[in-house]
This record gives sequence, structure tokens and C-alpha cells, in this order.
Amino acid sequence: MPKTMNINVHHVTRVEGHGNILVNVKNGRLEQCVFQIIEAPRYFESMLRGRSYDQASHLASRICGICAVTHATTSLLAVEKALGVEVSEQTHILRELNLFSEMIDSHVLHVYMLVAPDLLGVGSVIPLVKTNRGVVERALRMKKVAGDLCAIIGGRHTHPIAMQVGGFASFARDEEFDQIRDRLQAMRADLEETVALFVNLSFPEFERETEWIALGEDGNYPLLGGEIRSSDGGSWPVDAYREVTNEYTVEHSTAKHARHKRDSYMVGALARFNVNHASLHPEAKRAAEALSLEPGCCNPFLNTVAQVVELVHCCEMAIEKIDLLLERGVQPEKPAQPAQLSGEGVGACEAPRGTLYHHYELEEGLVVRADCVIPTAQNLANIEIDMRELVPGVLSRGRDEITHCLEMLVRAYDPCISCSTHMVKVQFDD
Amino acid sequence: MEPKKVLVLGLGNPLRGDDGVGCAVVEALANSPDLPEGLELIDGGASGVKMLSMIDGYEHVIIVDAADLESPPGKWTQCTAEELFECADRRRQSSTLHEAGLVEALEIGRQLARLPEDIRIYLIQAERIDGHLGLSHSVCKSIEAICTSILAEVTSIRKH
Repeated sequence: MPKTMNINVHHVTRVEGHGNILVNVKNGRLEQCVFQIIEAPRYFESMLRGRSYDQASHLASRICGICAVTHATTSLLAVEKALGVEVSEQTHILRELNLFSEMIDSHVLHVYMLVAPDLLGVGSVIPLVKTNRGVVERALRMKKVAGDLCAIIGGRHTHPIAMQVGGFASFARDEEFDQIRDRLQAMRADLEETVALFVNLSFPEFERETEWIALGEDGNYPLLGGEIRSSDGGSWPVDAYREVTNEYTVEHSTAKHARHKRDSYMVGALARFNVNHASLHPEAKRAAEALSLEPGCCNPFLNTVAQVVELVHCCEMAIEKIDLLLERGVQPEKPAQPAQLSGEGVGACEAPRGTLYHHYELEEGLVVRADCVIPTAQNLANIEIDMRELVPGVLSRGRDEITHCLEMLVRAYDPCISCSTHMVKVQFDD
Repeated sequence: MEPKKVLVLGLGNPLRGDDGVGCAVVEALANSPDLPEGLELIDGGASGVKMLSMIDGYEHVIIVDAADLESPPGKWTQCTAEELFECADRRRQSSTLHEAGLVEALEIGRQLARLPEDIRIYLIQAERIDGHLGLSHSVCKSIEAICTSILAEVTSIRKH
């Protein structure tokens, strides 16, 4: 083991937002190993305060360009709980369908464009176009189907405009559902190729047991609804999320950390797989077998493989839900109305990166208090403890290899540190 | 002859102050009393690579986004995708704050030869990009002129 080594990765690439990895080894002893979050706080909760109940979800959808549908849906669930709104079964199915499409879109982005470059030995997705053009084309093909499904349900590809309190403002025609169903069926070939690709790629060998937390429901692999379940045992209604998340601040991060029964816990695809494996679609179970992913998997790098399994699950479930809608015919029903204009409610959904909570208090139709707990914040403590366990085992390797390994670990969690800024830095020479 | 379909795509995040100017331009166009036929508007928000799906299939695309042009706030310019690539190459660095920002997304599309033939980009100098709602006065003032310019371009595209 080297006596002294400092690693400072300023802005880990291929993650959403800005985070730094700091590792400091002195006299053979690991003195510091942190994932530093330096982004300025985003003040989403304060922006939600004062919003009308029917505008909160539209603002919430802007929190993230990748998880816009999940933020909007979670926000709607919180408002509806607070105001006593009971939605129809059709609304519930359409929302589930929209969450499946967003999860496909986000997971394809992560596995193909953020993780695959590491495994295929290139620096980013742009050189990947040159070395593995077919791989990138396949990814974009799947993203297009997912995006178009989002647009059919939510009125646009991202930041859904048609989703509102109590239901939907507009509905796609049965023919549109029919066409997108055919495209989802055609996507199965690309998913088979995806599984085949990842069967042949190898991930770092590292295991650390942790607590996995996800929404759970008997006989279902829920993206919305259900209760909070832990791999360590126990379940909680979503209203009691604070008993599970226990957020706290740390000096080196502008994002809060979370812990439950242990020093940290993990949310996201691997946590969902470990908690809800029995309820996966049979095709997804077959994909997991092909990928040798087994319940109880303790290797965080394999979160990406769990995402591949979920891609198959989401595609199959989306086809089933569309079949159900087509069988009944999509009814242009009016949104359910609030029973009252004041109250308190918690909404929870499984975002691509893990369980997302929105908690609102409303008075006379206005949000007066809001609390949003995002998946990445829940994973930060777990990432750091993984890093601390990983580093001593790889210290004999060169600095570049250690750095790359740590970056891959952080990327495996698909962190979304900041999902919003879209600014272009350009200087034209006159 | 069918009038050519033109897409105006606004990008950015309204929760980040002036970053939302692209969305604000699309909203202002949507409220225009005499919108040309065949003009489609999409508020793309913070869509990253997803933007490629949105522009797929269009012959003419006009993208509107906030930028750091090292100019006075509210000043705007128009360029082609090629000019944006040249500028980014010259800087030899990622010219966006995001891993998959406008330049990277367009670059992926270019490498795959999937970009629409005609892409025009409006870039508006931001004054303040941080966690707050609403545009600064200087940026807000420029929206009307940008809309006028876009509508003139759309008219010109449809004539040729």
C-alpha cells in the first residue's frame, strides 16, 4: 500500500450535476474519502410555497429534465392526498404507463450513454458513436419510443402538460396507443440486444451488504403506490417517510444525507430488484437470469445491470397496460375534484434513481409548506461508505486506475446532483 | 405544395432564472395572434439528449437557449449548428455546464448523420442563472425582438 496518495476528482463526469471525489491516504492510512457536493442549494421547496394546488405539479416537473414525469406524478399524489382527491383507475394506469416510459428513457440514457463508455473503453458517448455506432443508434431508437410514449400520455416529451390534479387534461386516441404498442413490441429486439451486450461486459468485483429500500406492494413491482419496504425487514406507509429517510446535514455536501437502520441505505434499480424481485415480469426475470443478477446482490456496480432488467420489465408492463386501456377504450373523463382545499399529504413514486417523496401542506388551495426528498440524497451516504470500503482494496493499483474505479462507482448510482441548468458557454471570434 | 413544417424548440429550466428564456420564447410565440400555419412549438425544458427525439423528422428546426456569450445581458445572436460546433472545437472544451447539453446532444446527432438539414440556434445572454423563478428584466426585454426575428425566418423558410 502506498504511504501517501491524494485523489481529487473535480467534477465527476457523466453524472448529472457537479460532485467531487476526495481521497487522502497518509502513511498508509485512509484519512479522508468523501463525495463532495458543491452545487448551490436549489430552493425547490421555497418555490413551491405559495403555488396554487393545480400548479404545483407543473413547477415540480421542472426540478428534473430526466425525471420530470416522476416529480410531476409524486407532486400530484401529495396534493391529491392532502385535498381528498380520488382518481379513477384509468388515471392510475395512465400514470403508471407514463412512469414506465420515463424509466425506459432514463435507464437507456444511463446504461448506454453514461456507463457503457467505461465498459467499452472510450471516454464518453461521442467517441462511442465512432467505435460502436450501432450501440448508440439502438439507444436513441429506444429513447425515441419512450419519449413518444411520454408525449402521447403527458402531452409532450418531457415536463408533462396534460397531467393534472385528479386526472388528465387531454387523452390520446386509441390508434395512437395502438401504434406505440407496436413500437414497444418492436423494441423487444433492441432489449434482447441490450441484455446480450451486458452479458458480455464485466463490472468491478466489489461487494458490501447494505440496507435496500423501495416501494413495495404484494404481487406488484410498484412505481407508484404501495408502502415503503426495507430489505432489513419492516414496512411503513409513505406518510411515515421521515422515519425511514432521517435526513441530516454533513459539512462537505450541500445535499443532505440519509440513514435508516444502518449508517446508510441504497435506493434505485438494485434496491427495487432486491426488495421486489418476486414481482418482476417473467421476461425481466429471464433477463436477470441471463445477466446472472440474483436477489440479494451486494455489488453496487451492478445497479446498472438491474436497470437493464428493469428496461425489460418496463417495456413488457407498458405493453400490458396499453392492452388493458385498449380493451376498455380510453375514456375522455373529467379530472376528479378536490373534497377540500386545505390538508397535508405525502406522495411517493419510484423515480429511475430511487424512491422520491413530496410532502405538502396546503391552506385554502395554496402550498404553505413543502418537503422533497430526492433519491440521490438518500444514496450519498451509501456511496461514501462504498468508497471507503473500496479504496483499501484497490490501493495497490495506480492512481489513474483507482480514480477511474471510484468514478465508475459514483456513476453506477446514476446520481442526479443537479438536473436543471442548461446554459451554453459560447464565445464567437469576430 | 404543402407548406414546410418548421419546429421552434425552446430549451432550459425556468426554475433557474434566465436559463428559462428558451421556454419563455416558445410561450410568447404560442400567444402570438398570427402564428404561421405549419409552425410547431415545443417547450423542451431541460431535455438533454432527449432533444434529438424531439427534432427528429423535421427539415427546419430553430432552437432557442440561454447562453454565456460574454455579452451584455439580454443580447442575443443567431448561429447555425455548424458555427456552434466550430466554436466549441476552438475552445477545445465542453461548452455546456451539463454533460449532455445542447452542443453534446447535437454532436451525437451529427456523428450519426441524424440532424435535420437546417438548424438555426438563437442564443441569449443570461444575466442571472441560479435557483429562482422568473427572467431578469434585461432578458425579458429581448423576447419580443427574438420572436419577431423567428417569425420572419419561419415566413422566409416557408416561401423557399
